[in-house]
Amino acid sequence: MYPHLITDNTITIIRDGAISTITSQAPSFSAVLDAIKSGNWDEAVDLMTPRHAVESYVGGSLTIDGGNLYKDGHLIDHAMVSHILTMRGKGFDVAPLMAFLDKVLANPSMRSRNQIWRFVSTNNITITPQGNLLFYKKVKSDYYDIHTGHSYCYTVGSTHSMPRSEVNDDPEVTCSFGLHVCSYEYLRNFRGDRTLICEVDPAHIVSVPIDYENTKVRVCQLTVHSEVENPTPMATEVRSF
Amino acid sequence: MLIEINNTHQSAGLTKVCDFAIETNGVMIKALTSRLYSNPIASIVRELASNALDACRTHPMVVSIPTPLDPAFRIRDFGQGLAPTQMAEVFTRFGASTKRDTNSQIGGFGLGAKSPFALVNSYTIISYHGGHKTTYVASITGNGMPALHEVHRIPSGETGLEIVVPADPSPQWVEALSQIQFFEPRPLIKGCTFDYPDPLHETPAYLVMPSGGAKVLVGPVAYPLAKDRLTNNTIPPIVLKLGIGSIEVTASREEIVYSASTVATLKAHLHQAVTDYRTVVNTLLSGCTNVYDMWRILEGAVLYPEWNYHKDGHTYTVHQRSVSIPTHGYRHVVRSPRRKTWRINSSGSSTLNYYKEDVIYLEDDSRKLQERIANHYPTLPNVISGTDIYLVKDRTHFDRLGIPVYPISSLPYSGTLRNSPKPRTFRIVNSKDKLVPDPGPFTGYLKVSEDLEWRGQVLTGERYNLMSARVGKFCVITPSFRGSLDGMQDIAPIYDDKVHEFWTTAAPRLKEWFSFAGEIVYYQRPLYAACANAGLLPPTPADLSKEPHHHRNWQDISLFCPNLPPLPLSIDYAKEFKNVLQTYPLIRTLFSCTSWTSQDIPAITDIVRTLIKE
Repeated sequence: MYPHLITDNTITIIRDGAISTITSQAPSFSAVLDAIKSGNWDEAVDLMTPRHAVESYVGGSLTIDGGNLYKDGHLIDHAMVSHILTMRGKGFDVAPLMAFLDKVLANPSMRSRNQIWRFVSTNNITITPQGNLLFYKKVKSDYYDIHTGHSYCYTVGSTHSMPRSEVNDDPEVTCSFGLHVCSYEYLRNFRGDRTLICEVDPAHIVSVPIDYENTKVRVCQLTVHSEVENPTPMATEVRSF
Repeated sequence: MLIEINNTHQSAGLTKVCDFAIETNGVMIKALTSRLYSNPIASIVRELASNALDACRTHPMVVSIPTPLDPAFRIRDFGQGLAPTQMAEVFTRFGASTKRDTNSQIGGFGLGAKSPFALVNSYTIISYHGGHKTTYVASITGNGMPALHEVHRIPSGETGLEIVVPADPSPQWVEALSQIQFFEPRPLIKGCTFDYPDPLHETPAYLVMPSGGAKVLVGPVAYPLAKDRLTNNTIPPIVLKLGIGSIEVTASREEIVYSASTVATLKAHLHQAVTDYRTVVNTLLSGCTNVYDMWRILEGAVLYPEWNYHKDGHTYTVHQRSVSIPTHGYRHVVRSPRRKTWRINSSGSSTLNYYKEDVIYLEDDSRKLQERIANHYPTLPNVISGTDIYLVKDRTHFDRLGIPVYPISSLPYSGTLRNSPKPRTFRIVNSKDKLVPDPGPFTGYLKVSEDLEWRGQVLTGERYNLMSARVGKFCVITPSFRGSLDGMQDIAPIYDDKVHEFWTTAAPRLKEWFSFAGEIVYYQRPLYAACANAGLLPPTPADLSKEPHHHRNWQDISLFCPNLPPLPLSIDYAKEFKNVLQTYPLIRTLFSCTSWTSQDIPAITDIVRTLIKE
């Protein structure tokens, strides 16, 4: 047992003179309490120190400075850090998130990267082990796109692309050129006979238009991953496909 | 903060029953901590930072706001730290303060060090003092009474105090930093990016900030000024500098106590500051010869909503974003599309609101259009506004005021205006009457819009460029067809009959119209652009439909036109625009010429300012 103090809304543990303290609002609060009850004080301290969750990945390109996480010198948005910590807190491997991080940073546009953080913070996202994102898309019964009906045939396994320079990167312009995919929430707003899951490399995301609460994404390349008959919300957890 | 208790109290013939006292219990403690502050986070930042500043004014404190990786608010000063006896006095006694005998320090109520209890039931204090680093935990115990625990002590050569308050990341912490923005030395902020705003104007008595409400600095701590307590007018963002103790603040130090003496003090200082600042601005304005010069002054100035400025016998009403210029002798109907307000004045002494960078005034130098206006709009006022473009029938008055008016024939094109809330075509020019003859050699833009009008497809909402091209320094754009583009649909360039017809007819005409400016290079609708650039006819939609669908993608242009030169797809729009601006100061219209973004506007604004200065 380490010296400690538990109040209604805080837990403080002193281990070797180092203070760890969290509030009851922290995601790991109940887990810390459980660890303390079962006598696992070191585990409790680890749970109270969020940086431990990412420290095993630190080294090389990933660094921690103060309360901030950097990848190749780029500040990682707090929304992404929270996401990593949540995944970690639920016991998931965060390697896919690290792969995702690599791919986001490979995105050539700073505006696009910032919009991806915004998307991550407001939506349930599904990330593949390769760090790609899975989105939804509605198509016609013959798998052709809804807009023109004959431009793109989204058969499962097919990859579609258009030059990045032709995709509108202005998030203020809510409908414009680009291949469109969306989150499950946005899917409800759409007509269409078939629902597809599309895999998108974060580096190929061009913009996240501001309408529909940031749930729609314009990309310059996508691969049709699979078709779902009766779409149900994707869980926030990382899944393997 | 000097706090004197020296009340007059003289009595005779009274028998004192007992003295009042304050019960020390959990409820009272709660009243002095969690119930004291209406904004606990801002109070914690302000109080702890004030204490840190009192402790050390030579070395900047370090303030770390909570992040996901480090969910705690930390503040570290580099003063002398506190000995154990001082710790007990400062952190466990409410109302105990060592600062109330002097106005050189901010504190005095003996409450601030306990402010973290407003948010959490325990926090940590690390004192570096006397060769030791001692860690304490302050907590609210089970009966509601606070207690201080020493938990660790090791030798250390550092000095100072660090307070660690467990807290979850929240934007409120970043907002609270505005409370300490005037601290000197400026605190080092960690965990977020925080830009200290620089004042526009500074004197020993006041600051003028670029934005925000009026404030009063009591020492370094900024308190908002309640407008309704002081004046009926809007108060500009002036920050009065007052010494610690010169006015009273509440025990929570969240606001000023508006006693009669404080109100009088504030009114006097505010009046002095505003008068002084107006003098400064008016002195600068008096040297101006035209409205552009005025803006160079005013864009950096903070003003009352209506600030009359007299010059050359005229009264210029200066607004925060516009200057009203008297236009005697004319009847004007001026509408501001951005503000959706009409200013109609039929008394003959109407004013024209001239907005910074919002408006282009055009002189209609097309004789035939003038005839049309005369025939069809006999009651047309001098200045017509349907959008950000104002058509001027008589430019004499504008010339006298130094307002630039551009001839219509100098426009390289026409189109919808990008940044207007409700973009419209230029109705006078962009007539639906197809029979209007071509008014001149450089007015090809009329034809472009006419064609689109003819199709009845002029965009009024989001715009999609059907055709974009550059001609030397010009950018040429056409409004596009409105598609049913709502929703999640793939909006690849469409090659249908209408588009094909447009390109095969309009592209050669554009090339002809803009031949004066150099070679035209198209860059949107890749297939057609590539063909037009090469002087070839594009494949028809019928041809395209025979091919597999993916051949219609731009990558497969070579299947149809194997000898096409590469497309200029990597155009630097912002750079392009700057080039255009440097040659043609048609500011607003050019905004519609290509697809740079709002992020480019600061750079564009800089260029515009440079142009104006020149």
